[in-house]
Amino acid sequence: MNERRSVSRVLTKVVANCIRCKAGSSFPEHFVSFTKDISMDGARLIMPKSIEAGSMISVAFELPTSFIPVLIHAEVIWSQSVVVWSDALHSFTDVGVKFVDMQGMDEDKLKEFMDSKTDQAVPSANS
Amino acid sequence: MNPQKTILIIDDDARMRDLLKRQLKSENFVVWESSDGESALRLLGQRKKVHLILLDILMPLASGLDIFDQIKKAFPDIPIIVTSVYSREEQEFLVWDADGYYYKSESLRVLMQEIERVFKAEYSVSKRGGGG
Repeated sequence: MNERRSVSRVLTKVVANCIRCKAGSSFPEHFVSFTKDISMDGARLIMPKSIEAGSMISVAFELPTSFIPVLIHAEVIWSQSVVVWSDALHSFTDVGVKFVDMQGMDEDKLKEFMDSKTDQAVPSANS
Repeated sequence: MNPQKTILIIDDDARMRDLLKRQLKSENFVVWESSDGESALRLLGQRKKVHLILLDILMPLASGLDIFDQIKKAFPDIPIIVTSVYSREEQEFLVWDADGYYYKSESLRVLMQEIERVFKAEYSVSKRGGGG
């Protein structure tokens, strides 16, 4: 576990298209979000709607190093609603997700992106 | 009608740039273009006057969302209209501090209206600010 958490995060804002299959609904729900940071293990996402910890989602990251979105299945580990007042009121959800399933090709693309961002890498938030 | 304002197009799609360039030139704008954010930042760094930026938020090399933040930080006085294949509502969520939004499925007339709206807003702010 400690080994996983030692992976560097990259502070970057990329578009992350989320797909969630809600219990009791036969239609998957799609919504757009964006990253605050990303690592090989997970990501911190800003979403336009609330989502409960424990939810499973599929996330297609629009990485600038990849023409095709990188699709990763993830579990919501924590979630907190945030309200920001600038010139208008904005409410959104700050979400931490852990990647649980990634195809080899997607993993390679994510690694390629992470390698291109070494200048924006920071240590894991783990204490 | 336009007093030769300069607009910088940042978009990796050459056909889109060409389409926008032709439309903007026909409206008497001076047009600069960049195919990625890095070269756009270099261009802006040359300190030549740019009155408006049209920024595609999905581009190669660097995230358009990151580029938006970098431009806003380095050149806060230049208004930015964000363009993408995402709906206006989605774009407003992704980049809530943009000055305008253009959904690429909309007609160019919508874009021209958005440009006009942004310039009017800028003019009214500068007038209220009394800077000059």
